[in-house]
Amino acid sequence: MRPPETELQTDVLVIGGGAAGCLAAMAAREHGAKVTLVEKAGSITRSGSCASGMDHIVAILNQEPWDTPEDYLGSLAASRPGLIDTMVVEVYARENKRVFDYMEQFGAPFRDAKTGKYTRIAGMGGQKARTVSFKGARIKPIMAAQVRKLGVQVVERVALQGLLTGGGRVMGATGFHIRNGGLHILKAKSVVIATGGVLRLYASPCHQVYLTANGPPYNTGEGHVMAFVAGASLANMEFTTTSIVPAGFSAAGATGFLSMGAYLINTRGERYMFKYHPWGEHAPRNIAALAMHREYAEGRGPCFMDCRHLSKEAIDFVKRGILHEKATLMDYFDARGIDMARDPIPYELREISIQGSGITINEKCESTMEGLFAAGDCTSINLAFSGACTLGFVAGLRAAEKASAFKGSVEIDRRQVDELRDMSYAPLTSPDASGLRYADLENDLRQTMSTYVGFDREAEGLQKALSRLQTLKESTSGLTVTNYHDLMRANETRNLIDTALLMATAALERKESRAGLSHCRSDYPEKDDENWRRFIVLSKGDNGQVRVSSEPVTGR
Amino acid sequence: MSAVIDIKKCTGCGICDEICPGDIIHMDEKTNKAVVVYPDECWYCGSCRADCPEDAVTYTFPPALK
Ligand SMILES: Cc1cc2nc3c(=O)[nH]c(=O)nc-3n(C[C@H](O)[C@H](O)[C@H](O)COP(=O)(O)OP(=O)(O)OC[C@H]3O[C@@H](n4cnc5c(N)ncnc54)[C@H](O)[C@@H]3O)c2cc1C
Ligand code: SF4
Ligand code: SF4
Repeated sequence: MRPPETELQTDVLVIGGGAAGCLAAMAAREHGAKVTLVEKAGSITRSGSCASGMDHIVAILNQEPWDTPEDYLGSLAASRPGLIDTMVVEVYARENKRVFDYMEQFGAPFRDAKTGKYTRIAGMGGQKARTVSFKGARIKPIMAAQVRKLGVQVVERVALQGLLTGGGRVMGATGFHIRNGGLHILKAKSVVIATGGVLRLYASPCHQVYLTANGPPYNTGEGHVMAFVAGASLANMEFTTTSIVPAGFSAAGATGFLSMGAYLINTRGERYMFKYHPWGEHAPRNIAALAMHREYAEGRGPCFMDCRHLSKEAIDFVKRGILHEKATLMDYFDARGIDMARDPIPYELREISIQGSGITINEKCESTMEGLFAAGDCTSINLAFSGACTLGFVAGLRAAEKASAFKGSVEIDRRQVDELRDMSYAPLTSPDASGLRYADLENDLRQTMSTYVGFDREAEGLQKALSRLQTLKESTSGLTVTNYHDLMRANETRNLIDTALLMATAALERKESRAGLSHCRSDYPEKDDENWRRFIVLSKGDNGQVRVSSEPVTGR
Repeated sequence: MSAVIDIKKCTGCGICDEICPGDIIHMDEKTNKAVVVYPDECWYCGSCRADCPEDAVTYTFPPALK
């Protein structure tokens, strides 16, 4: 029995309804385009990284002499040791206030309700109080309400699996409904990909693979892979993000602690951060990760987040932040009997993921493929919530302009639809399906990634990883499922393996170490600006293989 | 280890099923109560508890490492 088929036509198709996708849909609607937003979760009300809340947003508000785009751009090199396209960051810095104000207008609670003022703090990787701390537990429902109010067509529980192309440009996308299996074909004049970062790629020491800190475990590189397959290029795929998290419960929130003056201490009680960076606990996130890695490796673990010296007000502020960002962390502390005022909180290096590795975009947030735009954690630029919102808005606007300039007709090639359908439904229908479970295949993948593509990478290990990953890719034909929820997961597994192959390819190419733990080659331990201050760019070669090239980093 | 639903409190409104970002909770057609169908895949995001009008959701935690 063939599942039902739905065909929709729109001007701008937005894929993924997290922070970037919601703002993209709003901007395109405000411009007058017909907009369809497709989200694989049950509802955009609680999907994506900000599902359960946000407690801070970087903003450039012209409130102080230093509170300007110029000053922000000047501090960039110090706070972001990775490689970043400054042309795009300039657009972010320039547009930030406009989007921030727009969000306030539709109800984002950025101001303190009592004083009507912003609470500005210095976040991780910054000494100036550029960050606005706010009570954002309901930020996502507020954003979702605005999307609906503007008349965006919202299609939920549909996991898109591939782009449709024709005449060298994008024409739409296709995927399936995760409850009834219905095939969805979306025809569009332009497309914005906003599918977030990639989680679930590396082993989790507490065996809770889905307990991820840097994003939902349901973000698995589908946007990266569909863009790549359609012909767009990707950059920065070798760089990973590692967070420091409470031991046993991988959750975001370190920014809240550190901005209030919490210390990071090792087992001897020493504040170790100043050994690694002059800003101490305010050092960029990846330095904090590198420092903790060293402390543990050199026998000074376990490490702790220490709040014992903080005032009651400061501790209440930290707790408030947690409750507005990941409330279940407080339950975890309670269950473990941890009282922040009394106990240093055991911290560890937990998870590796990728954000800021992905689809390359220009100042218009357009990819290298005609009509295809992208924003947020799935692009080669990660500027957290603030960047996802600001550049999401820019992407939506530019995609709407592109759509109105497009005078041709949107033609889709039925063979592409059928191929993508056969590929995504295979675990349910294919005669090759041999009983292989996605969870088992994924465990193999994580084992490979953690062993060879983790902190200490070197050529031989990366070669091994590539051959192992190729074998895993071939075994995806054996994946077998019996319902559509599991079909969604099996497709996630397939995308994770494809993403991993791209990561290992880029990591092998970059023969230097850069950005702390983000890319640490034990066979090339030094940073080498002369040869490697370049983006490694991946694109699909004529023979379907991965083509590796490099491009200079311009600007600061 | 995941979100846990108190069947006695659950009135079957379906909100948690609708909003869970991971498709973890489904409504049971026979009992019309929410069921955590994929506990191993729960993100612990807290959304189901935040949005449940009946206070029917709590959480269990993985065993401590240290
Ligand atoms: C718990 C937590 C707290 C955080 N707190 C802060 C903070 O306070 N301040 C800050 O600046 N940053 C914070 N961050 C980071 C910030 O939230 C992210 O950088 C930002 O929200 C990313 O937005 P995005 O739109 O790129 O991705 P997401 O918001 O993750 O959205 C991606 C969306 O795409 C959907 N999707 C994925 N694949 C498909 C597909 N194939 N088809 C259809 N839909 C798909 C997903 O379901 C998801 O809804 C936090 C992150 C987390 C996880
Ligand atoms: S939201 Fe609460 S009351 Fe409604 S179905 Fe879920 S558990 Fe039951
Ligand atoms: S905590 Fe989040 S992921 Fe887990 S069941 Fe509730 S809504 Fe779903």
